[in-house]
Amino acid sequence: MRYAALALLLASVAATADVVSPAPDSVRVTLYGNQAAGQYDEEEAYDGDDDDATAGGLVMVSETRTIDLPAGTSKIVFRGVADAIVPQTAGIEGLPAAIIESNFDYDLLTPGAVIAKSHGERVRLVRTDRATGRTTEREAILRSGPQGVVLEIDDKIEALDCSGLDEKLVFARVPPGLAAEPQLSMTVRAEAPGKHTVQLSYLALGMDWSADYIARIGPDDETLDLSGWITLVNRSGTTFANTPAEVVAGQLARDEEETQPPGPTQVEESASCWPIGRFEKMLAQPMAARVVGNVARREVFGVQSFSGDLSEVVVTGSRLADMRELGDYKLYAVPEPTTLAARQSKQVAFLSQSRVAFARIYMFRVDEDSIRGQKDFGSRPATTLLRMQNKESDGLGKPLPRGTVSIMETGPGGTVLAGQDRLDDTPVGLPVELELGTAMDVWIEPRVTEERTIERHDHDEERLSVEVRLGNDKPVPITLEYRQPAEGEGFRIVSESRSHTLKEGTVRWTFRLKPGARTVLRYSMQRSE
Amino acid sequence: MNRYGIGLAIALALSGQVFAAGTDGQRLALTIYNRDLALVQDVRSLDFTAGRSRLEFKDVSASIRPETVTLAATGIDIVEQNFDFDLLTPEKMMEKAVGKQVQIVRTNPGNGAEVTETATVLSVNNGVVLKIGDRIEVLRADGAPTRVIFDKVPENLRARPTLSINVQSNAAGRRDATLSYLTTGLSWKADYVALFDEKAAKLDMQGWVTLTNKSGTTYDDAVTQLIAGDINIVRAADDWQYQQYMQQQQYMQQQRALAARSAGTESGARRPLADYYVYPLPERTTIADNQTKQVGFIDAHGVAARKVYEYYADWFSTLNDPAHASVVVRFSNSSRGGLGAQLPAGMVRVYVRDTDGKPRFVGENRIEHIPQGSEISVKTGEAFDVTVQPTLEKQDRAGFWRSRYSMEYLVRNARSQATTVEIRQGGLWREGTVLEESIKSTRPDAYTLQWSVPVAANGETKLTFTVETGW
Repeated sequence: MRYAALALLLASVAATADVVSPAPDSVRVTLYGNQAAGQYDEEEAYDGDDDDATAGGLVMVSETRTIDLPAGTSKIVFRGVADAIVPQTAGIEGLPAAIIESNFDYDLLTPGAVIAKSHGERVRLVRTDRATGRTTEREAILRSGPQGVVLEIDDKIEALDCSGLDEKLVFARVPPGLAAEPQLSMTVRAEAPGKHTVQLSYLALGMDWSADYIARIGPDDETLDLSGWITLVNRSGTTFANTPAEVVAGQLARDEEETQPPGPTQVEESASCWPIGRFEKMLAQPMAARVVGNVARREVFGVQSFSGDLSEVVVTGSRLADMRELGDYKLYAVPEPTTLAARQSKQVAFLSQSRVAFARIYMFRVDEDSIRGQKDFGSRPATTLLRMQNKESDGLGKPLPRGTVSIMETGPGGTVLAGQDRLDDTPVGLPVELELGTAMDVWIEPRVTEERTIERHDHDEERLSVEVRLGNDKPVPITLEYRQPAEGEGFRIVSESRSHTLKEGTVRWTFRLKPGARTVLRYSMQRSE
Repeated sequence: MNRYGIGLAIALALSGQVFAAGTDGQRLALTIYNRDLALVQDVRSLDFTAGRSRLEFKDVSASIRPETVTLAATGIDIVEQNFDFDLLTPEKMMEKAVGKQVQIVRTNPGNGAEVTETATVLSVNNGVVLKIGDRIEVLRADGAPTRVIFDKVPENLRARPTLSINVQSNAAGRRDATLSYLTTGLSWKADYVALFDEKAAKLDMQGWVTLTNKSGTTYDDAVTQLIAGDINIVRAADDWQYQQYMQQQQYMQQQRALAARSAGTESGARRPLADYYVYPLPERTTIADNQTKQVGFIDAHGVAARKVYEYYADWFSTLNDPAHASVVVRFSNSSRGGLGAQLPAGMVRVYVRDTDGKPRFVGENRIEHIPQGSEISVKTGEAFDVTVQPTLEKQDRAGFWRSRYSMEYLVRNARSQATTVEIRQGGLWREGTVLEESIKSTRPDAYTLQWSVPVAANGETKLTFTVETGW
């Protein structure tokens, strides 16, 4: 069902003192990504919800503009700013003028706003005869709207779009103050006229970046090739053409509530009418069709809805992004100016390290609660870990921004994905452990052999004795690490069949197992009750 | 500018009682609070008639809190104030027409011929039932286009919520009347831009007042002042609350008079008002509907500032992965430090200059109202290269209600400069004592220990300590 179309006779009303800066001469963008949420979540980042477009990553836009400023007070209107601009962050450098005020107007020109701001105005009601195509025009005064429009015609009152006739309103002008897009402006006072090159910078939402790594395990199973990609995603409706782009790695303190583009109070047009319909439809929903038409008019501010798939994905060649320090973060500059089109993602390489030394380790972390009270815990698979040191001597020694690592392994059937893990921001010098998943042929069978309470003079202690069978059914020798968390008051190992190490709050026993080897570990631990 | 005139024309058409509320000499004063509230004072020159009359105010804020309205003019008594919020819609109009006559104009879909009949509206329930002559029909049940023509707009239905005041005037004539009310939809906060120079240990700070108007109305050419400080606001307002506001407003006017007598006010100079601070905007301004407006109020250069790495643990526990130290920028807003201004609540956004000399954003945080002379810490984010890994090495009983904890903090620094990390350990309780420690601690309070841990460039330092505490 169609509703009244609005014909607007646009009258361009431009304030005389305005200095319009139609577009930036050049732009630079610095992407911060969507980091405030703590954990980067791919599902979250790509769920295509309308709200996500503005909840997305932060970008700092720095524009170079040329402004021809007259002496005295003038209003500079900045056109062509990013559509999800956070206006309170806008700042200008290089303008020899005092800023009196800075404004961001988002009273947008929508059908509803035109009606709401035209109360009492003379409008024309145009009806088209469906049979003959003839149009008739009546003078009317708009009395209310947009939630149902009431008109005064020849001292009588009628409602718009309730008759079933083809009706539309024609306005003589756009009400003042309504604009097609949000407008950033600054009112400034200059002593002397002059042409100036200025830097306008601001924060905006709608751009994200993430780091993704691919680790290819070499045939020696001792080194891997690690490549890192920066993925830039432009979810916004703004295209940044031929722009130097940078990304910042590290966790910034953010306030997602405050740093948001302002949303307008929306005046929506809705065809509220008296109930209409035939007898047989009275019990159904006579308004249903209208409601549908109405819902479809939903206005999304700023960034348009992101519907899940990007229109284009661009992968550039493998010139590496340059890294440098920015305060306590790492800044990666895309090697050449690039075009970040609206709703486009782009990948740039930032890391390419070959022959990075690693150790493949099988690990089992015992969960005490799960073995207590169990007659038969059964055998459990070990977890496969790749352990590296982020050191130059090991072939790495580069800051690693957090992201997802895909580990590829080449077997007899070709290259396969061996597993994926997330990597936290890792500075140089720190160990890196990647979990690949569970190993099929390395198994652990823990069993509680004794649980007893030992009475002391002022408290009780609990002793738990565990026997663990471990086995390697792989055709290669392996390193297996059995881990027991050292938790609880007075925790200590009172007896053990081989000696342990204590690291990061866990007791560890390490075994080197030949193919087909079996072994047994026995230990007793004691803690206060 | 003649929005008002149009409003007036409708007002006149609506009701014979309504009378002039003129547009000339309109002066607006706004007092805007932090939390979605503003006091509007609207001085209008009105032409009163002697005796009873009814005034309609069309262009008041759409988010007006009607219970807070007062109109003050010499020789005027308020008889009654009404706030009509029954909106004029086609459906409401039809509902109000029940029992009344309307004109029905039916258009023949085939040839376009129109037939006009008079009908009585019987009911508007899930369809409009009409009585036309002797027949009972449902409006547009046949699907044929049918217009309905009403004689007039029912009383009390308005295009937008409308305030009307019945007054008793002891004399006729034009004079100033002050309409004041509270409205929601207007609020302000502060936004600070701090350009931090780590090497010089200085920052440049600009403070901006950010005004937001979502009240549905534009305030033209208003004298505006902003109040910093959190006043108590009862959302369902009663009369007493309004009284308070009025008293406060009078106080404010007195203050304004005092200030005018003393030295000339600088732009953005703040004046203490009871327990709040007042920031008058330097010039009259128009605050448009759906607008965010910023006006500068602080511009300080060379404020002493330094960067600190911090890590705080509220309990004795192990982390499997290293945590990044927080990066905190500390500065003072005392006059000695170079800032010398109290800071209203808002967002501080910190920038540093990159190698190309251009500022880059490095993080933001919220501050509360901060009195002058305070030490301010703004966490900008986490250090990529400075990490802290805590391990609870040992936890032992130390008698009834006492425990002993041995902690190790492994502090790593992957930066090429030596640095210091401030580690704070909470979790101490009754008679918390340090038994041994690798670095001398300080005790900011009974429950917290603090160490300044020096770490060499590309190095690491282990902080170990054992404490005993009751619980």
